[in-house]
Amino acid sequence: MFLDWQPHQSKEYDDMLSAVRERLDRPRPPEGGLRELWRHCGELGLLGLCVPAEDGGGGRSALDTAHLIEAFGRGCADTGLVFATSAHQFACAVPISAYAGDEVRRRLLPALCDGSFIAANAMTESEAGSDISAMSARAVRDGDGYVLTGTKSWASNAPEADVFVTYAVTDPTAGFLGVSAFVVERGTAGLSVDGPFEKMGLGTCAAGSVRFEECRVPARNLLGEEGEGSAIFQHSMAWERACLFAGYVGLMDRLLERCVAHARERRQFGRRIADFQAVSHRIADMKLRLEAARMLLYRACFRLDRDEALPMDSALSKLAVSEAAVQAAVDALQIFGSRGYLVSEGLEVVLRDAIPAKLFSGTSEIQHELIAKGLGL
Amino acid sequence: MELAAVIEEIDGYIRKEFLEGDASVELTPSSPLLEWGILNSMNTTRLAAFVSERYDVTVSPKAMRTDNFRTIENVAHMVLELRDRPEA
Repeated sequence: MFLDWQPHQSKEYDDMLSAVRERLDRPRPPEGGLRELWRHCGELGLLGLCVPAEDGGGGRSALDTAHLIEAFGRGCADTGLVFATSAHQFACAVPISAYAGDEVRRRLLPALCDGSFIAANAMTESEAGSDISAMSARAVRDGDGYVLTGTKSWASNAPEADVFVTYAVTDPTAGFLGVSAFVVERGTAGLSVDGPFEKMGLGTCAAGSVRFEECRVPARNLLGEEGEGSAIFQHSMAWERACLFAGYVGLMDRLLERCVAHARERRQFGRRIADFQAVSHRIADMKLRLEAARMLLYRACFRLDRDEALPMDSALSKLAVSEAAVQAAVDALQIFGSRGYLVSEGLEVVLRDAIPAKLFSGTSEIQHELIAKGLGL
Repeated sequence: MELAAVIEEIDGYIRKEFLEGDASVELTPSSPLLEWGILNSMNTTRLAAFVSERYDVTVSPKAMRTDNFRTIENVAHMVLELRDRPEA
C-alpha cells in the first residue's frame, strides 16, 4: 500500500510547483489571453499528464497525475484555469485516449496535449444531469456516420472549444446503457455553441450550451462501441472526480499556508492570534480535513491505476475534497476577519471558486447516493 | 451455484428492492429491465453491489454493458462468467 512519495516523485512535484508559480500564477488571464495560457499549460505537460506518451502525453499513472495537478492547484491562483484544463484532460482527452480509434487519437490527442486544441465535455442536459437515463439527445446511424440531434445545457470550455466529447442515445430500448459517446469537431455542420454563461466563480472556465441540429459525424468519431457511452462516461468521471479535484487539494494547501502565516503574524490583545485556541484549533481542523481528503483521493487514484476502482472510491474522494475545500475557504475568511472580506485579499474568489466543487462532476448529494448504493442501501 | 438459482436470487432482489414487492409487475427472467426503467443508473449500481457481495465477483465499469443488464438472465450469465473468468 502506498503511503508516501518516492524522492523522484517529490522532485517532480517541486519542479512543477515552481514552474506553475513562475508561469501561471495570476488570478485571471489577460483579455484574449486564454489560448496563450493554454499553450503554457501544454508546455508544462499539464494537459495530457495521463495520456499515453505515444499520443503526445506524459504517460503517467492516475496517482502521479493527481500529484502534479495538486501542484498546479497549489501554485496557480486561477482555480478556473486549473478546473478548465483538468476538465479538458480528464473528461475529454482521457476518454478519447482510452476509446477512440487510431485515426482520431493520432489527429486529436497531440493537439489536445500541447495546448493547440481546447476540449469540452458536452454531457449534461436541462432534464438529464446525473440521471443519464433521461437523456434526450439522439444519434441515428446513417450510412457511414451518425446524425446527432439534441441540446447540451452545460459544457465547460464550450465557448472556446475546438473539440467536443458528447453523448447521445443510440438505443432507446436500453435505458442508460443505450447511450453512445462521440467526438465532434468545431466547424461540423449542425453544431452551434452559446455562451459563455455568467457564473459566480471559475471565471476562466467558460461554460455554455451546445446544440446539435442534424449534425453528421463520421462513424470513426464514435468512442468505443455503440451502447458503451455510460461506461465511457463513468470512466471519465472516475478520472475527473479523482484527478481534477486534486487541484482543490492544492488550493487547500495554499490556503493553509496563508492562514498559518497570518495567524503567526497578526497580533491582537498583545498576542499572536495563533495563541488563541479558537484560531489555532480552527487551523488544525483545516489540516485534518485536508489530509483526510488527500488520502481518500490518493486511494481512489491507487485503485484507478489497478483497474480496481469502484464508483464509491471516487465518490468518497470527491465528496471529501469538495466539502473540505468549501469549508477551508470559509475558515480562511473567518481567520482573516474583515480583511479577508476585501476582494483585494483574494479570499472571496477562493470561496466562489470552491463552491462549484460541490456541484460539478455530480453534486455532493449524488456522491452520497453513490456511496450509499455501493453499500447496498 | 446453478444458473437457475442465481436467476431466482436476482429476481427476488429486484422484486424486493426495486419493485417494493409490487406483485402486479409481470417480471420474468427475460423481462427488459432497462427498457422498462427498472434499471436506471442508480439501481444498476445497487444491483452490481449486490451481486458483487453475494457472489464474490467484481463488476468493473467495463462490464456495465447492455448485454449484461438487459434481462435477469443476462445478469445471471454475467455473474457466472465473472466467477469463472474474473477478467471477463
